[in-house]
Amino acid sequence: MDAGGFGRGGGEIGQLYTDYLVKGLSEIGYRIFNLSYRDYINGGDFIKKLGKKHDVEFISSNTFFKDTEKHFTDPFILKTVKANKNAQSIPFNRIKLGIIGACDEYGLLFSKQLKEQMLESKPPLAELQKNIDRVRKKADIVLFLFNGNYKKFKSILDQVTGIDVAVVGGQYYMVTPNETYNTIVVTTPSLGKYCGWLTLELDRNKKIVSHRAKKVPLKEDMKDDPEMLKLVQEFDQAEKKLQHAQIYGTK
Amino acid sequence: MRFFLYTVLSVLWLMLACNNTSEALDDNATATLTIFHSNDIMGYVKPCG
Repeated sequence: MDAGGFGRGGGEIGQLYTDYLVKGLSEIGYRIFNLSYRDYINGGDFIKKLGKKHDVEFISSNTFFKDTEKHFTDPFILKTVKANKNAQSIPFNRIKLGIIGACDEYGLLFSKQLKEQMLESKPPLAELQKNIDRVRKKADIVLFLFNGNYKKFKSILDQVTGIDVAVVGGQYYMVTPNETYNTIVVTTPSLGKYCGWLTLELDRNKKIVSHRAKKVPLKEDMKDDPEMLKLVQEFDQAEKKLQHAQIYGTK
Repeated sequence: MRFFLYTVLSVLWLMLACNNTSEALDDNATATLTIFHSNDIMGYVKPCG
């Protein structure tokens, strides 16, 4: 899952970058993406198309259509995870995860020049407790994906109960190991150069008894995945083609 | 009729076996759940130097 901030920028080039990034993440098993204000630059329709095209889901509990005040996406998603077939002596075979997303309030989220329904993000705290209570009733573990200001994130943790794990984006660099929280808080630094790996140990009542968080650096000496290399080549060609079209006006 | 009885007995035996296995499990047995996560990748699909 991703805590948001994957969008590269606007226009055809920005869309191409974002499209290939989400495609790559989907191919390595990503399924759920939170949305930050930066991810809306190409409009809501573009995000919906990305979701369908790459079989991934986007969530935000505080983004709404401006006119109707309806949620742009589901505020949360429930996912059932089954135990590995080879697992032995484990106290249960499946677990239900509730994943809820939020970002900072930002007002209108993209240019009015885009001819589609305008979106706006409202203060995340407004309905968060209500939504987390709804998720809590249905899920064994509640995960919160947040993208935005660290102080606001802290005030959410101070005021909202029921979050087991939070993945933080935006001011991710403010999260330090010296701080203690009742919630497990994880993040990854350096713009995708690390993969976050959180292992939760659960007792027979599906309660977290311990956890280990690792940040795995994606180093040069790692063996390249052939499928990903193919995707990078495909991306390079698509980028060259688009640049050529933009310069010479042909495709 | 005999086939039906055998079937019922087999199901009962299976239920009993599963129940025993469950009870035999250590009270302290745990499971692990691993989550892969990221944030703010921002489209850096190429190495940046």
